[in-house]
Amino acid sequence: MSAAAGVSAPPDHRQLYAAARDEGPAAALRDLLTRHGPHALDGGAAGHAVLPEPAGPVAGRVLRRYPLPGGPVVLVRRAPDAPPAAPADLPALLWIRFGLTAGLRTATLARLGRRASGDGTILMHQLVKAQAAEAYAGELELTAHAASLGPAGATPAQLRQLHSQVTRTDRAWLRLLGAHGFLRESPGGVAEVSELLADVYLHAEEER
Amino acid sequence: MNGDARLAALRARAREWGDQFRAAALELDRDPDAVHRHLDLPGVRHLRTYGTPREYGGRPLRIGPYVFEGTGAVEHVVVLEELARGDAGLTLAAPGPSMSGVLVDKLADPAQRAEYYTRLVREPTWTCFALTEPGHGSDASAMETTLRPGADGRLVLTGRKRYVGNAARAQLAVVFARTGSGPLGVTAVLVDTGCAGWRAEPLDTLGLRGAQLGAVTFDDLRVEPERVLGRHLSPVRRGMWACIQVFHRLRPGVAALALGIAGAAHAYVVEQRPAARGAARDRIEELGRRIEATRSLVLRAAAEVDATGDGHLASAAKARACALAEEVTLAACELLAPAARAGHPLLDKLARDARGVEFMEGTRNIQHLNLFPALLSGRATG
Repeated sequence: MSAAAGVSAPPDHRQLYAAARDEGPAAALRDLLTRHGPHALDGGAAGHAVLPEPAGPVAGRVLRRYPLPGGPVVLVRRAPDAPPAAPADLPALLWIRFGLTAGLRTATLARLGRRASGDGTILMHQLVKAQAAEAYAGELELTAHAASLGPAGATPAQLRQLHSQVTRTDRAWLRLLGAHGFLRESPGGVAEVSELLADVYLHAEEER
Repeated sequence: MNGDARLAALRARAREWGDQFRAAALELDRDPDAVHRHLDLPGVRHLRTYGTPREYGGRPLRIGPYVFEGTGAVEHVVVLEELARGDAGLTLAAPGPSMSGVLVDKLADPAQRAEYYTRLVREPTWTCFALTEPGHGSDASAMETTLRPGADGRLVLTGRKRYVGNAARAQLAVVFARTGSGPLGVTAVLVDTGCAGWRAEPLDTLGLRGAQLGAVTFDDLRVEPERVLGRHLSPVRRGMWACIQVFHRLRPGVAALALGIAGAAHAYVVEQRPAARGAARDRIEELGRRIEATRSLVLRAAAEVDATGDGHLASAAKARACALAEEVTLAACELLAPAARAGHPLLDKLARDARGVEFMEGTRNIQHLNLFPALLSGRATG
């Protein structure tokens, strides 16, 4: 399945996007750590971090491990006495999530295009074509919006909105992917970690 | 109304059982085999023999003046919603008739019923319902598993199934297989999983881990002809028709599981954010109202199945409840941000479980395709 022509990541995030799309979350997060330093992912909003395994020098406890295509990722709870961490690069994480969505789309189209149904494939059902197009339109809107935000970047509200839409776009692809996407080591597991990135690094809408 | 009081009593009892399920939820999520440590929970004991006729040792549930035989879809959705509100994983992991019982109830002859129900009553017995195949999902018209006459007078079961709940722990299985071409060439057979040729292994799923979905292989498994379900019926009534009737009965139950997951996520947010104000308060209240609305549809669909066997409302209820479960769990995560999933393991589990109900008894698309003919014919006026 060819890569979608309509998604164009800005130069700063092009490599992260491609790594996430082609190699999965571990490769993209490792790329981010290489560019921004080994503590670039330490700054989860409530003291957590999502890291490629092996996790490197973070001071904390591994809460969960996600075995994924392209390598495992871990959720870490930072130690209470760990030094303060700088906030994570939220736009970079957003483009990683866009890349993961593109990978999910590719995997879903490939799978549905292989599965026979009647004289054709499931992908060629009108109902499926319409839903795939709808999910893709949502993805195009997301990336166009993010790319248009300019040097000032997205506001916190815009970032929350964008991440929320990424999650809902992924869920649309996952429904098309079927039960296969409910397995841990599947594109569904990757989408799970994509949701976790937003969960860990985005701040709350309001003070409570 | 007396019926309302009766169901309210049932719901209150099932909610107590569900509260006990919640205490086991995370343990079962980590270790599906933990179900063996919870077999004495009243809710698990209820599910173990649910719907077993009295002549085979089934005992109705009695609550005050009310008696529940366990034969109606309405009763079942009330219980399932409350148990799933505690933990959908344990609800699905419990031994008992579950999905297979609906087919046995519909198709089995007296000897098959006696064997099946007696075993369920005698000891905790897990059953499974093997329909879905790798490559075809639950599209029975494309089914490849075959049941053919063998040289020794027995039947030979060959093929593979996938995403079968409780497959690796089941002692009895209802397996769908093809005996010939076309819709009349599909039949179901009762299989003892101790037979040579049965191989089942759990799949590593993201959610509903208690249910331990599995992959099954039938390698020339020998089956006595007496174990073909509905063998005393015409091929029309034991083939795809029976399968469709069973799905009509099962779908309100899956909708109830989804509703339970949504209700659990909503209750969790209410508990964690008692002082929510403004937009957050409005959103929490709206989610609560949507759960009530979908519950009304689920109960109505179950009543329709009880009254007529018609399944179009069941499809509508299943589609709506599964969508709701996803939406409410996602909204709950947003309302408890940051780190709602990283820091709230129960909510994280609910968000994962919510994805799983979508694939049970047909995805949203299948339900919409089921619903459309009713819409066109005018049956779907509600």
